[in-house]
Amino acid sequence: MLEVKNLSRSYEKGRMVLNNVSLSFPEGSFTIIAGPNGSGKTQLMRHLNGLLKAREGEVLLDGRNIREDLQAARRRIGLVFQNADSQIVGQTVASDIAFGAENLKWPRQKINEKLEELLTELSIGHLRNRRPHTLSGGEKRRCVLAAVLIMNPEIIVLDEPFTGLDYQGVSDVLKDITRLHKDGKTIILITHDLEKSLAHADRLVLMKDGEVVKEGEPADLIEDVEDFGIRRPWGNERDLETMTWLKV
Amino acid sequence: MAEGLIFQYTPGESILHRIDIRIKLIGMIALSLVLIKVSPFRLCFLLPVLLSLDICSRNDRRISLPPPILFLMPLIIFAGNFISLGPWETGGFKPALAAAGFRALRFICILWMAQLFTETSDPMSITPAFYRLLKPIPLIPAGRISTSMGLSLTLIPLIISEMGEIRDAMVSRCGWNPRRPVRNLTSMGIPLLEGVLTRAEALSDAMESRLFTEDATEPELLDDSLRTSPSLFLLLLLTALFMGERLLLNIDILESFMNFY
Repeated sequence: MLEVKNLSRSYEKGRMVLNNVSLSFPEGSFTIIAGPNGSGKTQLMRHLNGLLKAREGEVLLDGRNIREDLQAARRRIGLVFQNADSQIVGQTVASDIAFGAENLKWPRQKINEKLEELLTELSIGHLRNRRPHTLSGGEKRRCVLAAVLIMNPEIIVLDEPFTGLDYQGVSDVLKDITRLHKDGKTIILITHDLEKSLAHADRLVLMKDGEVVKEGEPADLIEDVEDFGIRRPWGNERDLETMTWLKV
Repeated sequence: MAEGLIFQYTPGESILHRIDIRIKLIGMIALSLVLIKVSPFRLCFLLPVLLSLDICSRNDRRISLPPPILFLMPLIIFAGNFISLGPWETGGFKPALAAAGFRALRFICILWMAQLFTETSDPMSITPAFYRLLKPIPLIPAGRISTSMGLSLTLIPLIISEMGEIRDAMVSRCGWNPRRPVRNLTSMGIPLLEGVLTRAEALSDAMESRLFTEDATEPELLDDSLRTSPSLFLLLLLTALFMGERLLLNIDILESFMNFY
């Protein structure tokens, strides 16, 4: 289980980007963290994997502070950043996906086997020799998702994974996320666009001005989201189950 | 972003495509060293060679000019050298023009070689080839250097594309004035630099989160390419260049090696 305890961070005097945030993400859960721009969602994400060091508070993985063994924590917690372009390291899709596994010093044969498995699983085998930066938005997102999945993380944190994607792109990425959740992965999805994915989440966390203002089951919080600057999916009588862009 | 931009790999079956990347790298480094000395003889010797290689590398045998923005740097080099050398140092207007022109031409040759190399080398094999080339050299961090090179090759087309976008944005807001190149350059350079630095920071975070280490699994070299004949060709080319210099200009071969500038 991943836990965040009393996490605070400020950059300028008096302005807290994270203010006493405490959250827990049970194994196999699907949590959506929602909030308007500047609410501290991305800052929180960067603490989860140890990219930012907590100045106050701590991040615990199975009860141990992640900074005790950062390498192990980073292997177990995969981050998919908002801008796919800025996390592409390899010159081809295949070499970019293999990058993480190479850093884990796996033997080449194991890397190649896992690579093939992921290319098939995410239906991106035809892209393996393409330059990642020339892919479409949806293809890029799936490429960076595969690059994180090759390290076999238990927890996957995705920062605004649907930004700039068309209907097909959103649908493809969402399909992969829900499949990973069904396979037992813990999903933490950061978004302010609830309409596309809320139906799949079992927990909703609302953030504003660096604070967690509400958390609970999506059905209990959906009526309150507009009070915190998040657009409620269209239609007052709308069921929670319809708040997805995935074809049923 | 479209495929086929400058400094991007274009798949093909030309001789240049089939040469072992390590030989191409050695060739590029050797010819760049040769060009450190600004010599009209060397430039005249290498330009036809580069032209032939360029023609050989094209699948459709046509020569297309690179985007005009790429000529900006040689232009700056030309202007900078002309101002710094000046007629008062070179003994006249024409010699100053010639000296600045040769230095700009040298830069064009180096850019041309880089373009030929990236256009004909499968990106998947460049980093491993560079790693294998450096690995036997003691005290050289082969992993770090080859990763940096791979990242640079990944970023070059993005930077060029970003430059184009910034320029288009300036043109669309009537901010591009051909009569004021310095103002254009500063207006374009600052956002470009900011963009590059932001991207570099994000990339470094992404690498850190994916546990980047120099001690990673060795990259794979997929190879069934030409080695012997290109190596011999390179050797012959360099011999011909130094011999030609010796015979025509009476420059000692040893001196040629040592005289870089």
